Amino acid sequence: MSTQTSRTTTDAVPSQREHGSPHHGQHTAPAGASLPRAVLSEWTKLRSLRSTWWTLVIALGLAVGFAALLAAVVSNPDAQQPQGGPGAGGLADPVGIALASSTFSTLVLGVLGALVVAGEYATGSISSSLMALPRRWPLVVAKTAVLVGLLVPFTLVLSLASLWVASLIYGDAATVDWASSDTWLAVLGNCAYLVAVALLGLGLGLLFRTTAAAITVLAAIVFVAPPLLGLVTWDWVVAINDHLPGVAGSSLASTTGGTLGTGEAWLTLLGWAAVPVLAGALVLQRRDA
Amino acid sequence: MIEAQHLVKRYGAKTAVDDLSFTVSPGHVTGFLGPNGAGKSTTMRMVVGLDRPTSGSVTVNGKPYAEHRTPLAEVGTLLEAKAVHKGRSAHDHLLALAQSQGIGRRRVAEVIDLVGLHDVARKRAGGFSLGMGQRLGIASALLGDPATIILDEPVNGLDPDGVLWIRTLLRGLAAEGRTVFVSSHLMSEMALTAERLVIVGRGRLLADTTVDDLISSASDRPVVVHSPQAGELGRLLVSAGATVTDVEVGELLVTGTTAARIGEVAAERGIVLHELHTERASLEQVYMALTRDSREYTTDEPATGARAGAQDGAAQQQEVAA
Repeated sequence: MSTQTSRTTTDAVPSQREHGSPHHGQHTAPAGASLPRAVLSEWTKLRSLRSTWWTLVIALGLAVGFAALLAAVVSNPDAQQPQGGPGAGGLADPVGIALASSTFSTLVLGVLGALVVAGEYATGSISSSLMALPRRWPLVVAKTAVLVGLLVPFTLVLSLASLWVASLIYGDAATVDWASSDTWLAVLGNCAYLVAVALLGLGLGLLFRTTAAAITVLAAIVFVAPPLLGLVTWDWVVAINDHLPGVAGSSLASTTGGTLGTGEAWLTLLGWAAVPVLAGALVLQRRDA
Repeated sequence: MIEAQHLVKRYGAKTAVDDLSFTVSPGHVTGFLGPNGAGKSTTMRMVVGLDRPTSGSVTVNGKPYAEHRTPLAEVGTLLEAKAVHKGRSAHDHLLALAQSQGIGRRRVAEVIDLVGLHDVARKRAGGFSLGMGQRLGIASALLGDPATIILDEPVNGLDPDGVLWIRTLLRGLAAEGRTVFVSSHLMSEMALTAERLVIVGRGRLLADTTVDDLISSASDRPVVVHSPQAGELGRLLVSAGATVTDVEVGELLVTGTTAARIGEVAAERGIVLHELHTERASLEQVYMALTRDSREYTTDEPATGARAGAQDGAAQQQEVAA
């Protein structure tokens, strides 16, 4: 193709221009951006990634697997149980022990939360998302809504499956009282803990924008901080350590209570879930994409 | 329609865009041209609200981008290749974008066909070639059937088929009466695609003009002379104050005088001329001259003769076509 012919073609275009119309298709005008549409769009994004489903499979597998393991260990009559073991009255908190298996899944779901945002920064698709929703905050609301909408039923299944598997393995060592409201409150508390950590991941993803940074901080808060802070006896450090998400989670996911009272534990989880997301939304609103 | 008024973008001490005002009107392909680092991408990102101007303002179709109710139906944008999640299929990427604005599923299928990605639409975009990624980007840009289309370096890294496809597509979109604003650092590519040019260097406006006006603005166009007595003619012209380059035996490239004057000199001495014509300045030369001071990384190139410059231009065009 020679340069000369192409120039000629360019020159020929203006004569056709007057006959064109600005819109070539016969489409009805799109309805416009709205919050429900943003939620639908985010749901399409989340469900269309294999990593979403792998993450859920891994979280479920880990929770149920560790529930079985913990149940087997505590119900083994030969084992030396320092506390909570099968003594005269059986296990003190069989529900709490079974649900403690979820701890390993929190990190997995936190990573899912982080990926919802940081994955977009990593691939550059965040610019597509922000050009579709230039007001930006609806993007955060939609991502939050979709993550919560997916994880509330999922963590319910995860918690019940863990508890059920554990109850089968306890055998004579303990029984899970399915009729007790305490059992169901513990299950709900466990769900809240898992969802809160996922939202913490989402907030950290918004704040740090890279998967590596978000996951590192998430792991530090969920796994690394508790044993390290536990070594320090200053009052304010103890206070912080008592209000980490894991402590609040285990206080709720139990039939015998924990470090924090019920109300304080719920508020603590709410804080870990909401504050980073809100801060992240503010930062997103102000920062160049 | 894009209207930028006194746009400024500073990053710390560095000014990326410096008091840039221009208007891009419908019905043409408008080239946004400048050396790498001239602020083209930053400007485009400010147009679609991704980056916030330090000062100044920009509107698209009469409003700031973020105030449009259905932004994707107003402005279609291709910023960088593959602004797509690698794990998501082309279809799902487009569907999610469409759903956010209430654009129907049928339109998703339509743009997939339009860009020729039908066979791979359900495959993960991470496995796409650069050309396929670019086609997907174009599909995203056209999804909302927008009146304004903004493309940042759309032909970068594409094979000749892809380059030709984009060139034809852009001209077609402009012919339909849309505003088409497309950046490039290659004058040769813009010369083939655009009618109007907004040229920037170091974030400042260098020219807001048409391709034709730009060419005719070029001064001191060289004259090509073919003569069996080229040596003698050359000496005469030099003594008359012109600059003469021997291109090859029997061919001279003369600057600093006119074709008429060369003809007169030859006639006075009875020198035979086989050819005498004034060269049309190549856009590449004009562009290089315009942006010489604003290129971020300049090689110490000697002031090349006009013919050499023209050959450079031709070589670059071949590069694009190759």
